[in-house]
Amino acid sequence: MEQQVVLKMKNITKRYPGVVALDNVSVDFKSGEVHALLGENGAGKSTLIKVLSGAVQNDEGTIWINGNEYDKMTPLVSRTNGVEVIYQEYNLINGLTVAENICLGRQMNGLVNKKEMVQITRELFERFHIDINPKAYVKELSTAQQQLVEITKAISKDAGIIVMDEPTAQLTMSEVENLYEMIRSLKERGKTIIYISHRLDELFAITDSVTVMRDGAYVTTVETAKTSRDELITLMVGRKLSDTYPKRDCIKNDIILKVENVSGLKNTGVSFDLHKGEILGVSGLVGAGRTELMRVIFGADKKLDGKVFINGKEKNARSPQDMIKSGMGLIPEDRKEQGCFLNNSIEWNISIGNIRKLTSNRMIDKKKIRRQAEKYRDMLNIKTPALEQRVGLLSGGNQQKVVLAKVLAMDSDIIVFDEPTRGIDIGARHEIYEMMSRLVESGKSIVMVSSDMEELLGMSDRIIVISNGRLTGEVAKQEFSQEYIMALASHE
Amino acid sequence: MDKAKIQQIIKSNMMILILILLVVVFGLLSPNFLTVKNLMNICTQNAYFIVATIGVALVMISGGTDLSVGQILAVIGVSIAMLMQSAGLPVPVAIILGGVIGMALGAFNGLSANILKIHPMIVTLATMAIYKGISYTLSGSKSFFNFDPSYVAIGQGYVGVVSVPIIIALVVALIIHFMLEKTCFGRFIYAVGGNAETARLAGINVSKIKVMVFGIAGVLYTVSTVILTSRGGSASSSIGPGVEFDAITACVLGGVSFIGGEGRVKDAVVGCLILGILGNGMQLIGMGVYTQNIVKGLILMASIGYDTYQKMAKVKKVVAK
Repeated sequence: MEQQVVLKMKNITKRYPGVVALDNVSVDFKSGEVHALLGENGAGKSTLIKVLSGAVQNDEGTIWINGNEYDKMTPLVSRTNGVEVIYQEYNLINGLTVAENICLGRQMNGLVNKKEMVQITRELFERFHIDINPKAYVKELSTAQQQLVEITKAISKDAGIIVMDEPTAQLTMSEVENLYEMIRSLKERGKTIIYISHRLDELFAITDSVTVMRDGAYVTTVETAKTSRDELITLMVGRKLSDTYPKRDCIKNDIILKVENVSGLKNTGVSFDLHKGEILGVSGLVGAGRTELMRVIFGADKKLDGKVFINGKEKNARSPQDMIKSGMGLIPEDRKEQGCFLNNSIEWNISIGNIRKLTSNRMIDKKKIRRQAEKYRDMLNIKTPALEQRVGLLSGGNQQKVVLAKVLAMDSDIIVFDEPTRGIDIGARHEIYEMMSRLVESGKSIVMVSSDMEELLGMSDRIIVISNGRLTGEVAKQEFSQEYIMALASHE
Repeated sequence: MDKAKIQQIIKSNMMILILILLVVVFGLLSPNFLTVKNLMNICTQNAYFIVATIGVALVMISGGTDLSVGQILAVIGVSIAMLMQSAGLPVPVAIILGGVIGMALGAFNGLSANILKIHPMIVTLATMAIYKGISYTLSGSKSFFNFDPSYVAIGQGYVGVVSVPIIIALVVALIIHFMLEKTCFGRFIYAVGGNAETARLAGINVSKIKVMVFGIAGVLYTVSTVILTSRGGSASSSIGPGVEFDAITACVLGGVSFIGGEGRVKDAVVGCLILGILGNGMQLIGMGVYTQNIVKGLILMASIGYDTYQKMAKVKKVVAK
């Protein structure tokens, strides 16, 4: 098919107080292409998309779309020009059905015609092989299903340019395949898909071209077929990253954490051991009950049955407080909702877990808080102009480092990382891996729940697999293979 | 000083500036307003309100709201009066028992919210009715007068030119300020209000903190009641109720976050003073009561609206630099 340029973003500049979020960026997008935006967090991808969707206004530059030129976009102008953005946060209404959500905003003679809505939705779902009941309420759906509904909703509006921001973050492998199918069929119909993802494998699987951004500036656009992983990483980071995963030797030490027949609301009879100085990977499909298992062990959710031993002593935790006292720390999956206090400063966040130790005469000692924050800032390389900075303003990678600092400050010997690098750019990701390596070398022990297969294989000394709430296998380092682990993960 | 810095200072002290502005405006409009006596009077009249509002502010910082405060004041007022008159207990004992009752009623709010796992706003909506019933059952709709002179002296006494209620309110404000700023417990209140789940996963006993906050608020309500009833010289089931909405208004006006995690004692005090000065000033310039209500509402809307606008505009404006 003849590919035409349908969208030109020319010399776009966007400044925020103290930061230039976009610095004279120009990119062209063609019809019938899947065009990836790649860059670390803070590179300006999201801001560029917000400028395109009219969510924020550019200070300089113009946007040329379908033959019209605009100085600035507004959400309405953007929509009428056929731009649809699927954000990471879902915009579905929980109290309505799938069909009602998909047809939301579609005028039907002013009256609600449920039958017609269900019909429209059913046709769309059939076209894209999606197995969701149009009459189900959104609140009954899994996050992955919500994601599919969100995508279908955008497509149903017959948009010419569809932006997908990390669309696979919540999806399982078969659902990702399904999504690819959807994208290919959209492409055949001449649509433009702007695809944002941190996962390089995905870019090679689905995109035609990749635009790399760094520090708010345009770096280059390359054809996917003519580039390589290493080249993309170098372009994106601006320097060469050596081995993605740090190497280290694992010596089998004593068992520090023993989990025996633990059952919770979503788990039945799970047993495993964690050795001192080990990184134990926990694999499984989304929704298999890995996070729930960790929360039960940590005392955050109710344990229905089973025993947990730390250093040979049984711990019957009723709350996270008890487990923290026993030397366990949890870095939760949901960083923003469970890991950080977004409205509070970096030093406040780092000190909240061990504030009792940062006192003089039983009064909070701000100097001690500052010293501790400085220590962890240097140790974990937290990038920030000031320690008084609100955590909500930091990038995902730096937020994760703050959460890690908080857990380290609590003096944890066992650290559970739940999806440690989700949504984090490659540079910060690498730093977190190195930090994990240093932690186990210094005698700490780590349980790492992850959906990123590469990360699991690269970082773990041993992997256990959870499927449907049960332990379906344990894999030693010499037996690591993606296929074997996936087979265990989909084992019923 | 550069422009951004000045803007920053103005923004973070917006409500204090509005307070000063009100003082200046009423000072120009009425010759009787800007006198030491009148200003002291405003403070004395609002001392009980300031103390109660600080209690509500604590609850709000911890992520809750307390709609039952007015009824708690009534229960405590009636109880202390009956303990002194019907039971014949000495004044200090009656006041201490009143404190215990206040703490218990407050803690009951917190416990119910924890056990039933419902938002404190709903819980206190229910306890508001319960406490109202309790106070009328106790008082039998009667009013209590003729208190012991030593009790009345609390509300009507002076130390030099400063009234005792002002001193009490000041001491309470300083203690709670110290607690919030300097103690670990204070930090935990902000943490629980900022994000309860994050706080729990960081090893903070969220339920305990909530109950303690409500309990402390209950003690403050007792202090507030003592000032109120000793100053007025009477107690009944209708003295106290109504405070709840003024207290929440004062908190929000001063800058205490309605969703929790943010706010200072200073904010609550400034909010109370703005409301107090508005009321007094409009009275002095001879405005009718109904007009006063309208003006009060408009000023509330305008000042909070402007404050929010300032916060939003900050990002947009500084860009031009």
